[in-house]
Amino acid sequence: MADDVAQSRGARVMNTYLVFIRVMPQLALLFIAFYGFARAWNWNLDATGACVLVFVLWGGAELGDLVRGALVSIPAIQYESAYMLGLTPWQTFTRVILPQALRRLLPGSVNLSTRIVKTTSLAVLLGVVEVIKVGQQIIDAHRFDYPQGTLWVYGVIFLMYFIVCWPLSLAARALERRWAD
Amino acid sequence: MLDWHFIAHYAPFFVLGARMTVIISVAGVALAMIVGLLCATVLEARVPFVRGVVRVYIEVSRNTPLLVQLYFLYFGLPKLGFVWSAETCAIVGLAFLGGSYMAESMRAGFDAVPAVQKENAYVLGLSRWQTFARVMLPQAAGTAMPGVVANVIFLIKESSVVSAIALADVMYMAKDLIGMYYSTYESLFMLIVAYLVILLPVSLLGTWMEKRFDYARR
Repeated sequence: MADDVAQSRGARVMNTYLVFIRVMPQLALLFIAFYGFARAWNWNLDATGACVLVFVLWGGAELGDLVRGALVSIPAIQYESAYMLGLTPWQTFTRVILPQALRRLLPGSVNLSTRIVKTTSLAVLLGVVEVIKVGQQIIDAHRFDYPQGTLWVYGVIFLMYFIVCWPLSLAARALERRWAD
Repeated sequence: MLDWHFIAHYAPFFVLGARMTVIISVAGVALAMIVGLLCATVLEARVPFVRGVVRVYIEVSRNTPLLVQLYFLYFGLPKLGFVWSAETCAIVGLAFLGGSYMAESMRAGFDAVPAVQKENAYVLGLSRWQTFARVMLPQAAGTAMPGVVANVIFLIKESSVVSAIALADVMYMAKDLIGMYYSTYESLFMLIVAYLVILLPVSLLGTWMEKRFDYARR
């Protein structure tokens, strides 16, 4: 499979893209998109736009890797049997391979979604007004009349991320256990 | 396109930044491995009560972002009387985040060792500690290694976030130079090179380690 992938030029370009995106820290990708693209192509991306772009590109690369893993894990005999029974390549893919691959893909992609939710916290470093920024504004507004605020505000933000991500993690684990084959 | 004089002049700053990234990462990863091994051992040995605490820790640590953990450690905890330097916060934060990821990988390694191995070791008269250190650990290490290596790379990447609590790592240098001189291309170029220089050897070493410790298949 690895050899097949390396053969076409398109695949090689995609491979370089995957390796680059996955080896760079997400914060570095955000900086490249926010500062680099603006200068290189005169794209006037605002911070939110740059974040959305990076999460699409990075999440896409990670998800692509999961999809590849799921497709590779389908044994060759599934294809062969389907062809034997007279199914066309399209029918084989949509009726035989895809249903099995999706099942193996789902736990990993739910896990990936929690990672993306967690990574969105980096948006504050580009100046997006999201939950951490709002927290900082609350802290700054009450710096003198309630100096203990930092502890509670950051504690609440901590809890908010946990409340969003925990059910997703539980769902991923439940799916994994249910569909383990 | 790139101003090489600028790069030659400011490259030493990136070397300093890379040093900070490496120091924080090495300390954080080492602590994370210790925490992970302790947690995995507690889960494996089914220690009552402590096991519940470890479970809660793993869920909390895995489901919150490092940035929020760092802000909580750096800005929140001083209100309770724990005043830590930025370096300590960064290392503790990385260890807190990485400990759970390491624990999960290592537990998967322990789970993969068949129960009969433990029983045989006891039958041969090995003590509990000998069984753990000589029989379970070497076999678990092989299975756990790919996950542990992936976690190490993940933690080095995550360490870029420590620039948010004013630690001068490579990320911080890049942001500073862009802000001061508008030298976007040069700074981003040096940033990419710095991370490649740090991460590629780790990735290669990891591949070698995976083969070296693969006792099950050797």
